[in-house]
Amino acid sequence: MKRKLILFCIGLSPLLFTCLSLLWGAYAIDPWTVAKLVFSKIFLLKQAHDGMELSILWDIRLPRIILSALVGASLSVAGVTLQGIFRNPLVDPFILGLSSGAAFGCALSVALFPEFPIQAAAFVFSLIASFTTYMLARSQGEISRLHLVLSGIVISAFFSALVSILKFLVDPHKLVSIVYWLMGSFSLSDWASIRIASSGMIVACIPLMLMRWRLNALSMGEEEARSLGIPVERDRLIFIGAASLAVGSAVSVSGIIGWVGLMVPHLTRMLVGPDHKLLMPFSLAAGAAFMIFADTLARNLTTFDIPVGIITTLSGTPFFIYLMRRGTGTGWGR
Amino acid sequence: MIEVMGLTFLHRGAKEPVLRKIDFEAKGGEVTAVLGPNGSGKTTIFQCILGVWKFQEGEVRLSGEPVDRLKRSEIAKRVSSVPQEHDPPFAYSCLDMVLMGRTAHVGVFSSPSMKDRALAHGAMKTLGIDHLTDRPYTQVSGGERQMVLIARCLTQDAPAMLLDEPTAHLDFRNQITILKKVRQLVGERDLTALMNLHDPNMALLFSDKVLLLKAGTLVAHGPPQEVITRDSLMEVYGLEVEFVAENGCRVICPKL
Repeated sequence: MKRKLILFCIGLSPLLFTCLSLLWGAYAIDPWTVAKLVFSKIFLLKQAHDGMELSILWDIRLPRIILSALVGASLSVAGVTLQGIFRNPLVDPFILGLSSGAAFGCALSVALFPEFPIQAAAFVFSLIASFTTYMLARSQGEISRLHLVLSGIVISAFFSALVSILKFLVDPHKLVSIVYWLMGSFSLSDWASIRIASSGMIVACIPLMLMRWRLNALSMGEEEARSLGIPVERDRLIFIGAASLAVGSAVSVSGIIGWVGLMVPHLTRMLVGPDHKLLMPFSLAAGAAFMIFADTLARNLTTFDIPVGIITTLSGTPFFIYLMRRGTGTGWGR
Repeated sequence: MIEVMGLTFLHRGAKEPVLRKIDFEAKGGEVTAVLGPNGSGKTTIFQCILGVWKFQEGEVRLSGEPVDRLKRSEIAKRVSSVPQEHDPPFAYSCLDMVLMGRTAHVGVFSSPSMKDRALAHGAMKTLGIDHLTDRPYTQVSGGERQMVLIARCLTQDAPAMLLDEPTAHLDFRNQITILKKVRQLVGERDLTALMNLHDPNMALLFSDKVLLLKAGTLVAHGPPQEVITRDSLMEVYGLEVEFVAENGCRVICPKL
């Protein structure tokens, strides 16, 4: 009963935070008006209100909410996937270098090759980063947890250095946009960026969702997964590829938002258990909710827009320290 | 049925083979024990039969089909396995562990159905561990873990079953419980069981056939009473032993 209630709450949380986020903003709009406007817009009824409020809700707040939900969901789902296949609860897209790879792809496209689509560049380089990390960690036969994290750090540092080179080379105008974007933010969200990024994220989430139960067997290690009937190489390829696509699309619209892919799967695992059949969808919901919440804070805590990446990282650091201190059961040091 | 013919296995880059021309056959309803010192190739034979490691020469047939021509899921439908030492990274419930046995039967894009869950529950009941259903696998005892893994094999529903040192790390009572259970299941379901053991006494008590390995070669193969002798144990383990008979039961006792 209690478990059902928890599941229900997590499932409902994105909707709750969406409401909160629609209501809370620099320009106060009373709840009744918000409800009426959103309702009338969705059901294409006649507009009875002034365009200002409608445009704040429909062109500013809602795109941000939808985009942050998509990004939060993608990063969390990618986190669950990576933790599952690498059998390590302490990895996420950020630690394994996927985010840095994607960031480099985006920066490259912004700085030098504007004709090359940012999403594609982000995906390609996040894929390169994830497979390099994987191959590096794997060169020792079965992947050891320490090697994996170390490889991730190396690859991450490598791509960060490449990004620094780009920052050094580009003209100051582009530099500002690259730096701000690297901090991670939804302030530039609009319907167009949703249209561009959502396809990648949704396409990535489909195989991850459909194949999620196999992650249980895959997380038992290479040999055992094989003996259970899983073609390990093929499945890993699909999972890593889809996770890279999710991360690449997310990074291309929002910049680097760290720690979500680590924290959300962890918290969700504590609440719903490790079975990926439940973990995957509920991490998706929790990730969307968490990101909407973090972005709402980013918009409202101060008079200006704080990059949301700062908020997630600030909340992620103490969380990671807590996990490290908790020691057993986190997979660290075994 | 498992048929192994002329099996030779070399690690990549190694000069000396780990297994040399191994020949044997394991039939349904029989427990075959694999005995041999550490590093004699016991686990390697298992990995070759499971198709996890690719062997260089010879052939392994599972229910008549050569293993290297079968897809992963088809191998899993023919042979299940209880792995050595087990430390999953996440605290799956025992039921989740048992359900993993359905991996080869459940479609790539789907999750276990009610029927699969019923099979898992049934297997747990058969092994008398239905009380563990919701307990985290990481928190149950070593003996209970082995039971969970054997239940997983039953759920996998393959005619053959490999057990890699099923009694390692278990107390005396649990060793006997597990091996008795394996014996009983093999008899009831006409399974082909192959297991690695360290204790020749256990092989005498619980197996129908014994494979005796030394440095990758098969020294002897046959009924335990014939294979496990003073001479063969001397040859394989380099240890002098005596046989003590008590109530019609032969027990091996090392000379001290």
